[in-house]
Amino acid sequence: MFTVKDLYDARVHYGHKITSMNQHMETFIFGSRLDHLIIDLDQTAELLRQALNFIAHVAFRDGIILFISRNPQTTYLVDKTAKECKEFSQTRYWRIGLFPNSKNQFKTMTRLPDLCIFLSTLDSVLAEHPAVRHSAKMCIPSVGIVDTNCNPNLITYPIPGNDDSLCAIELYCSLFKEAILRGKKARETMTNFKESI
Amino acid sequence: MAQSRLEKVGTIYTRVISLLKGKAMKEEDKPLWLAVYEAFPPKYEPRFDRQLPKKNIKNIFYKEDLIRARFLKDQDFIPAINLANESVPSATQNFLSIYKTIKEQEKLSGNETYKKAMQQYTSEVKTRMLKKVETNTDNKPFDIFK
Repeated sequence: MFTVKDLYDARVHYGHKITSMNQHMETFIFGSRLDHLIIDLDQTAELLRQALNFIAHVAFRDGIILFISRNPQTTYLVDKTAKECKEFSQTRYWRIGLFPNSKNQFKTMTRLPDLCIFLSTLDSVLAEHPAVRHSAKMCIPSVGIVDTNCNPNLITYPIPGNDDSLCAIELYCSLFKEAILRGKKARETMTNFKESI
Repeated sequence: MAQSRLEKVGTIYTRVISLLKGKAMKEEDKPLWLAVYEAFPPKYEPRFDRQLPKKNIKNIFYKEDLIRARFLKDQDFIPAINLANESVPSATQNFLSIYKTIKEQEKLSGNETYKKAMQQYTSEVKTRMLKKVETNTDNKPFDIFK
């Protein structure tokens, strides 16, 4: 679906400054160029393929997928991607009880999503998004883009990569959309095949 | 439905599996991602207290960085770069390509190659500036005060 060159062209390898590094991200870093961290794209490609495979399988099993991002620059893009693959997105302020206290929050029994996709795991510049912790709490698997200043530990399928550039987010969105649509298409062909028998 | 809400203990998989094993969660309540997770487990276990092996962050340097640094020190004016257009080489890239061709053609020492490349670079910049001034004077806007 993609090559390492595509990732490079979309500026996925640019990290933050070395002083803001999260120590759990060390493994995914290629090196530091004049104090700016460069992410190892070979590892990114491997982990991204694994994550896309998982997303496609969840979509194939008719799981509900929720896109989450708090970056105001990419809000529209993330919402649009979710709409195009007929899934859900949440790009605004995250009310704390949304997952663990969903019955009260929505005033009715609610089915929680089966997979959360984080386009950026940060809520503000410094704080982690509460949904990362809460999806792990509610046993919901998560796929997330982790930059060099994020903690990848609670994300089930972390993808090391730049989460600030628009072109990088555009690439991730198109890949996630493609994976979901492929999973749904496979489901459709299978159900059609079953009905024809 | 039975649930474990301790995200810091084990992983989401181990928590769900132990609930199933203890029959606290019924087979039909099994989350749909469980089979996918079993078939394609993530490369790194998503534990809260996961410690990956320590790795030293190495600095990335290139051989031509020495020339680059010397060039930037010598220049008191570096023209602005348009980041949106990658096809136009920057001043440093221009200088490095001149340096490289001189080094390949004439086998001089590092210092002499640098001096020669600098001469060629300054002359090129001068001719470019002259050209710019000429084109600017050609299509000068109409002066209303005359």
